[in-house]
Amino acid sequence: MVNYHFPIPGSIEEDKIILFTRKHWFSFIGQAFLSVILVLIPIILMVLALHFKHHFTRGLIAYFLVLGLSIYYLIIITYIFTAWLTFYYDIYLVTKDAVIDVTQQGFFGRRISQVSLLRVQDVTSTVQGFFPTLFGYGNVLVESAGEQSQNFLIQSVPKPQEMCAKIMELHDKIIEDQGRQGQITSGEGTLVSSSSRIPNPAASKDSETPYQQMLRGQMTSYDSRFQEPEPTKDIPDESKDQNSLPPPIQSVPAEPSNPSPSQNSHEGEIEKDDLDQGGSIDLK
Amino acid sequence: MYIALIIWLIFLFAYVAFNIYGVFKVYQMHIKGDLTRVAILIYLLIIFIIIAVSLAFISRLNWSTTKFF
Repeated sequence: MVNYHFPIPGSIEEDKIILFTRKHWFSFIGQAFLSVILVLIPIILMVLALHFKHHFTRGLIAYFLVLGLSIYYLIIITYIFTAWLTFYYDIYLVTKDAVIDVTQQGFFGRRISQVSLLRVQDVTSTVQGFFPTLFGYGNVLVESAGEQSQNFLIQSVPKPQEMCAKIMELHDKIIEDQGRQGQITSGEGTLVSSSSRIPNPAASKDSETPYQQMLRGQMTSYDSRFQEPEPTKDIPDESKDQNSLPPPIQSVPAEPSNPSPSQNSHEGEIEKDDLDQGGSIDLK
Repeated sequence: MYIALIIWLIFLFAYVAFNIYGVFKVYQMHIKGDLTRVAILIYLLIIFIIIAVSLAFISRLNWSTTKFF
């Protein structure tokens, strides 16, 4: 039914529009009254001039009067038309996820502002005064949260309480839907693809940069240097097959089978040159 | 008095050009089923009536006169 020919941010689809409203007709009464007065003023003046027998219909005054009145009424009719446009194209839209205010200013001015329903913090409707109470229209103030918080004033809409309730209802629905989505994604039983859970070492190596590979190589050599040897078990497990065990680690080099008596006599002695060199000391 | 008539004609030309463009832009933004078409029609009709009445009065006057009263 509704076909928009003017651009609105977010490209509204028809099925997303929940509420479409204009200002109440009574808010145009002031402009209409002013327009009628502006139209009647020259007529009243001419009637008064004729009554007092002023000679404005003769001579050059009549020429200026014709041209002047022609220009005056052309301007007035354009003013009335733009005033009506400004009233008629003040449109308020409530969609499933935003409140949109389209403000028309004359022929060529248009301001479109919108606030996301997710950011709505508070909505207040106000019906104040005799005529608003009589005709049932008022203002709706939408307060939004966030760093760029702005108050969104929807003026002179019919049935403001209903609009207020509708906005809050949609806001709550959005919050509820988002809460459900959060529970679903963060809850147990979430299916995660195996490829995303188990890293592929080959693939990760291939994707490494040369610098990362270099770092990884250094870390490996560092680990191998400082890796402590596993403590040897003093009490072997007898239940296991002895043949399957690896041979014992020979940490100390094997001594010659027949050591000379002279070598034995020097055992435990440290020479002065070795002390001066520092570092590793060979026990002799 | 011809100068006044020329000024009026220039104003009329500018006014018509402005309104053609303005009405075109308004028609572009209309919403299907709203009152914009009717309003534009009434607006153009009133403009036409004002210009027609003005021309009727202008044609009855002698624009070569210089008498003030």
